[in-house]
Amino acid sequence: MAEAIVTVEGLRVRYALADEPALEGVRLEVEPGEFCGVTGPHGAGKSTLAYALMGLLPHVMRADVEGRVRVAGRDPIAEGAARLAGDVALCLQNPYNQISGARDTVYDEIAFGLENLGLPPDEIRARVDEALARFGLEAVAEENPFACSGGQVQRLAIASAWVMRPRVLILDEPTSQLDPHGAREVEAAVEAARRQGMAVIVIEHRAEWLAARADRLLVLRAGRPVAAGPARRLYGAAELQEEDLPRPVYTRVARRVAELGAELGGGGTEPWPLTEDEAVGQLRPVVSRRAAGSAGDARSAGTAGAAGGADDAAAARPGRAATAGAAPAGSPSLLIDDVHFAYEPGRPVIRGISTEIRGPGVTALIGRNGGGKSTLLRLLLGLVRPDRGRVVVDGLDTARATVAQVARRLAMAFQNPDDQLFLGTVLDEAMYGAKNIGRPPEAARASAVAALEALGLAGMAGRHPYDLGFGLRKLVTVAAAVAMETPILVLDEPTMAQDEPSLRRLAALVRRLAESGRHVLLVTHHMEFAAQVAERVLVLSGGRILADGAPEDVFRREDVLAAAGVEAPAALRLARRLGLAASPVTPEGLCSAIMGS
Amino acid sequence: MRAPSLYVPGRSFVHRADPLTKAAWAFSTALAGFIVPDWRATAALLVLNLTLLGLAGALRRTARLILASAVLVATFFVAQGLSHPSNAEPLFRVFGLTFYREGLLVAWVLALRLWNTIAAIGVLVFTVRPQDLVTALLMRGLSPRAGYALVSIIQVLPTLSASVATILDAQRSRGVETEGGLRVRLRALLPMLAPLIMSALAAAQDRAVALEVRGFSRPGPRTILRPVRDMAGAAFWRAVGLGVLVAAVLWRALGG
Repeated sequence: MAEAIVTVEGLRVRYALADEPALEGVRLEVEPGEFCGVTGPHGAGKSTLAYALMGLLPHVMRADVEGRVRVAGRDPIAEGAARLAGDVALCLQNPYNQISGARDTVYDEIAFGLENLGLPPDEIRARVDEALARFGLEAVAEENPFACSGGQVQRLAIASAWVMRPRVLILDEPTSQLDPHGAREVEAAVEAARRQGMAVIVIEHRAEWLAARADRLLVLRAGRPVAAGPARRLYGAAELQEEDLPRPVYTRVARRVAELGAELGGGGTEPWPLTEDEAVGQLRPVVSRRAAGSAGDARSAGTAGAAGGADDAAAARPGRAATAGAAPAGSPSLLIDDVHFAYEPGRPVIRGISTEIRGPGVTALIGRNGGGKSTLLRLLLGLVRPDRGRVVVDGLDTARATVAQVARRLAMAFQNPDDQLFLGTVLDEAMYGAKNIGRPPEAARASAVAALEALGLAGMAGRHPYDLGFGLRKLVTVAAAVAMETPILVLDEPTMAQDEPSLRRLAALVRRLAESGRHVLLVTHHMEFAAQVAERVLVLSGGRILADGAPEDVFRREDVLAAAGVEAPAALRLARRLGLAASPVTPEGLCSAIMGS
Repeated sequence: MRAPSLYVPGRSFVHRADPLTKAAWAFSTALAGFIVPDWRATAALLVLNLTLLGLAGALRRTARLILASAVLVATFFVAQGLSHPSNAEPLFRVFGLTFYREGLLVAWVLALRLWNTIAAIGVLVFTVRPQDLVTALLMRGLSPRAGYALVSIIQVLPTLSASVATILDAQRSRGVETEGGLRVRLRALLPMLAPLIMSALAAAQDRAVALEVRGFSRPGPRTILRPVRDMAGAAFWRAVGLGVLVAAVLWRALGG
């Protein structure tokens, strides 16, 4: 066993002016070349741990810090971040604020830290070239960092930390703003870093990545450690709740299949599968046995097997008829008619999009970073006007209305919550939009309270939004948009930085809104979430709609997904590996497909 | 988001000149425009700077700035044409108001000085990357902290205008009416400014962290990856700039 490069014992952090410690009793050891995942629900103290390891506490952020922390043979609490640079690197959660402002090209921004370390110019150039290639940033190397898209900025921030080749690399939710293709690039870079001997500590909610790659885990809740140890052991620990440590899709499907009475491959002696390969190994025998056993029945029942494998969860989604037929009177409608738009002449961003949404339901808009999704949302609200074509929201042509008038029909939660939060309490924020569009204060208050309750924020109604973490602030803006009670609700990346309980509440709320007659348009990189709640998926790339249909149909089209930089949900990928005829896109659907096979 | 820099990319000989030579030129010709006693000399400097900007492909951007100064210039002509102390020779009447030749000439000189200053500064800011200017200063002993303060102001402040646009969009989508009379616009100020200030404070804290973790405060030598060298004949061109300034001072001192 190698000597630990990160050692934490009895760490306690209490921020200045805070009554309660943000962290208490934390113990951690990470060896060189290890991938350590830090996970837990909102407010667990995950980012605070990163600050402590980097030496930002108490040097940059005022806090009382107790305990013993050693990182790369240094004492970050005593020495501070600047002296640790080169040995330890940290990439914070909000990538936009990681741009130094000291350099005016992406290339020079990546080189900035290396210049501060005083490395020879040839080595700096070699490292920067490698980082540009690894993180897919060559095309924007000479662009101004402030002119890059959100996904590019996130990759730039990670590249700027990675390029310093620290002995310990700390990444705080490094894929939260990335499309699946970008997320894979980050995952590959982390693997490369491990192979180079770096210890990598990743703060992350995505169970599939942690389960597949993490060597060890630290699970925190409300500032206290819930569990720590080898990842495989913790994922198999029955006493660890899903709220603290969400299990990957593969584990959930295998468990459910076993609960339904099937005997998994391995004869029940193997632990629950954590990766796609392991899941295939355990589930393929089930599929084979059931297919052989039901061959006669399936022959007599025609295509019943495949139909049975269709996604039960999908069938249960609301608003199945949202794309076709006449809209019921008073129900939401949105028409996008041959819309073209460019910010600058000759550089079109939206290239002739036509589509229509009618009736209640949930539509997911997916596609790569920089593919035109945010611009399309701006067109829907009338924030920018089409160069050609028209957008009609509930009968109102946005070119002939003010944004405030459109907002009475279509509410939107923007991607970055900090662009809109300004009031003193969470409740005031949640009521603000509803009051602005003319709802009586009491009705606005009732709607806001209901939305906050639905999102698990009721206990925080009196708190200042900026006292909450990024993920919770994001939920506040979602609640504020929901409380406006408009026929159409647009949520831009609502799953960003959300923990498992919040995702579940969000999914339930979206479904409930659709059942109550509203249409929710989601923009998301979270394919599992889209598959779970949407009955229609639009794939946008290069300013065009590449596919439009039910998730089961759209996610089957690998060519379209590849062109748009996205991927099928894990359930569908697993179904393909298992050779199932059906195309289930949710874990529930996959279980049904396996048991019906 | 648009690139926030004022820099106009190009490969002209104006672009290739080193930042400090252009800074010396801009400073000298802007100041000389105020000092020379004859407006024709100021006009000549203006034409010279506009020619350089034309060669650098930055004339259109300069023209926009000069147009933006139209209101200010108009006030020069109205105020000076009507009420300059030396007014003696009436030139024309508008709406019963008499404009005088002497005052209008003073206004013309003020306008030329303003436009020449805009053009001279344009030669610097439209053809020099801020980072190159700061690098040139660092190579002459400017402290990294002072250099960072200078370049971050040039780099980060323009992003505030992009932030304002995004915040404006976010608040309009929440039903905040921003189009209308003065009262409507005043009511929109708080939801506009408060997120801007709060997010700017949060960004400042994060940016301080980003600098720390990338070794900005680290003691010891640092590398300049793209050193900025003086152009060939830099000393001559700086001397020309200085010569223009000295000539202007002498002309003025000798009562020309």
